[in-house]
Amino acid sequence: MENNVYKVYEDEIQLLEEEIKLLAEKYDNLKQESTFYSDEEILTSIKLLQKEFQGKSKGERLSSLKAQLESLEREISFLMKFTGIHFTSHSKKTLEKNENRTVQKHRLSGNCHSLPFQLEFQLLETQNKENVSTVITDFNVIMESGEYSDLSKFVSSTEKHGSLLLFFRSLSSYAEWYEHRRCTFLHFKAKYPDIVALPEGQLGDYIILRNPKLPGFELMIVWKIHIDEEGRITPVLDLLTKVPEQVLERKMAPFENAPTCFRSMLLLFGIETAIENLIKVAGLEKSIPALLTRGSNLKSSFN
Amino acid sequence: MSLRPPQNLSGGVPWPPGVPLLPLILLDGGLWAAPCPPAPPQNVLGGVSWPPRVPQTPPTTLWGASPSQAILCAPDPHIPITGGLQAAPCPPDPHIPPHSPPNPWMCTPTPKFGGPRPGPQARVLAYLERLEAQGRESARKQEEEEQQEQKLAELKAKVQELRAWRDKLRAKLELQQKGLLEKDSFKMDAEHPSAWAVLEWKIQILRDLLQLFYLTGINGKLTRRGVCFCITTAFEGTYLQSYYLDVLTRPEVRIQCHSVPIFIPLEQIARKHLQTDMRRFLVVLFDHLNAYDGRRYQVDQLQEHFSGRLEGTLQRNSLCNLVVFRYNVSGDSGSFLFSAKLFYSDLCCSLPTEAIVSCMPNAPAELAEMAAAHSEMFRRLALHKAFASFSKAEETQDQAPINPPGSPQ
Repeated sequence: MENNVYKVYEDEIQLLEEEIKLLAEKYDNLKQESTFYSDEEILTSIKLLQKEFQGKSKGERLSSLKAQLESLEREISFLMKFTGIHFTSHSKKTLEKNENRTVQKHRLSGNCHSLPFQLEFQLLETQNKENVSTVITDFNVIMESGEYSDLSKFVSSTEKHGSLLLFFRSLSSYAEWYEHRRCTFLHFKAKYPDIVALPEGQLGDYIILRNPKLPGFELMIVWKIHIDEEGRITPVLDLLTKVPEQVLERKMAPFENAPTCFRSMLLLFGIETAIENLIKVAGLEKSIPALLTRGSNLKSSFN
Repeated sequence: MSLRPPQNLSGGVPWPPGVPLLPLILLDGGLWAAPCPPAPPQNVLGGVSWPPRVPQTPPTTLWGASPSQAILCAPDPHIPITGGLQAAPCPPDPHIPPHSPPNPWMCTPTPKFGGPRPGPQARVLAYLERLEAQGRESARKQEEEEQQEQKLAELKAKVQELRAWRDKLRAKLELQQKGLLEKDSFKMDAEHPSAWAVLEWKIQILRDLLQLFYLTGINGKLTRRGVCFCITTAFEGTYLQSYYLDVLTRPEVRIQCHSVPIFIPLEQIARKHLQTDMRRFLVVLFDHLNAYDGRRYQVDQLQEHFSGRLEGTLQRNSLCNLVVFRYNVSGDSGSFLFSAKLFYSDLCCSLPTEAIVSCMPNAPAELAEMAAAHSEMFRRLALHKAFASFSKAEETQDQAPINPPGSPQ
């Protein structure tokens, strides 16, 4: 009987303690989430503390905090460099929190290699028995997809399914290809400045090859990066030709075949070698049509 | 004065039969005997042994009352004597509460007896002993009660304290949510604690940022001799598993230990990429793990949500890239059994490259058509989603028979 009397109070104490724990966490979260300090303020604080606690007992606490700060910064910078995903700003807000369920709303912006992104999502964490299940809902992406039109379909598919992880993985790989294309274009522009032109700049998806001796003759290499709804990435390259009429009159057939030849060369040698070979051919002083049809060391691969 | 035995007041010992009636009164659950002949039980206080020929005079020194008195008064006037007892020795007042205030006098050791005593005297002694035990018992109870009360008071106080604390927190939170608790007031606490708070705030921000990498699938922690990578897998918005790889970078790049399942071709992937491009290595490994977990998740979901439709057990290999099962389909002319075989030739893919759905050889043409439609669905949709869509199609078919069976939603 007496135990029951205690139990009423003990139960209430337990409930109160749980409530207080949650409230305190909520308070700390809100405090954390609603505050912002600039890097300058953080530096000032460190300096202030250093001055105050030089050689004193609290100096230990300061150096431990500083060490923590440095190690965290080191880890983050390593991860950002390694994954190519840079977060420039992040804010979160706890929408719901109780013993076994937490809902947080995150806002995140950053860039993946050179592609900027802005995201918003809700993170639902549920504690069941031993493990925590994590589910993403309400996923929204803001990207300037006008420039990356093939990306927008993929992005809306990830938004629909809450596939935050797939978004990051595929965006990484897309951005890596994007970066690779940019570097390749720049490399050839630097190596063959007279032949290679980048009409849309280094971020464009094509280059034009010209022969200074042959005005009007142009080869256009288009390099698209295709991404499907499942996030699989395939680079698609093609060759377009622009040939002056007098050249066309003389040799018609080889130019019709050139794109096919370029495609087989891609398969055989890979992107860089195929482009380089094409540039070399385009830059030759002799008549290109002639080279394309006979006498070229590339002939075998063209057929 | 006719005295009857107390009616088992303290609830413990029954009146022993054959024991001479003694002018005894129970007070406060204990024994306060009237020192009447033949044997005045004055030894309740202990210390003095029971003399067989004790002078008939009661131990007034101890009790502070004359033997002629029917009731002995408590020597300590502060110890209250329960009302009804003073009036008459018997019968005992029924109003005496079973648990009255404590009587410190009753906590006494058992008196030592010189040896076994024959006759009624012995029985009296036994009776007294029992009463004494009763007294001790009740004293113990009282002490317990006191402790209980004390504990109760402590508990009550704690509840009050916690309630006050909670209310304070609630009020603070309310202010905070209204945005009234500004950064400044937080800074105002004291000059230096705020500098600490700034540092701690920053550490928390960095921790949250690190946590985000977990959501991107590839995460890592610098170790003394390399990096411990963590690969996380997910199916759509649901996170599934984490795998760890402890990679040493010095003196040469090498995998120290890992939690990747044995049937994932880790060695092959490592041979191809580990030395040349660590990122590539992790991305390829991620693709394998994510596709494997994705396939497994779909099968699990199918078994969890559509077990009613499945016939027999679903079979799959360890890589989960070959899945075979049979399921029920309801058509116009009743229920039929389809068997499906899904094969995933691309190990980095969680949709089958091949989906063979077959029905009974003598099935109507309509069913063969449906099987072909299902096969197409399995190649395009996640397994459990394809099933959800079949069920939906069947429902709409029931409602409006115009819809072709197995039509995509």
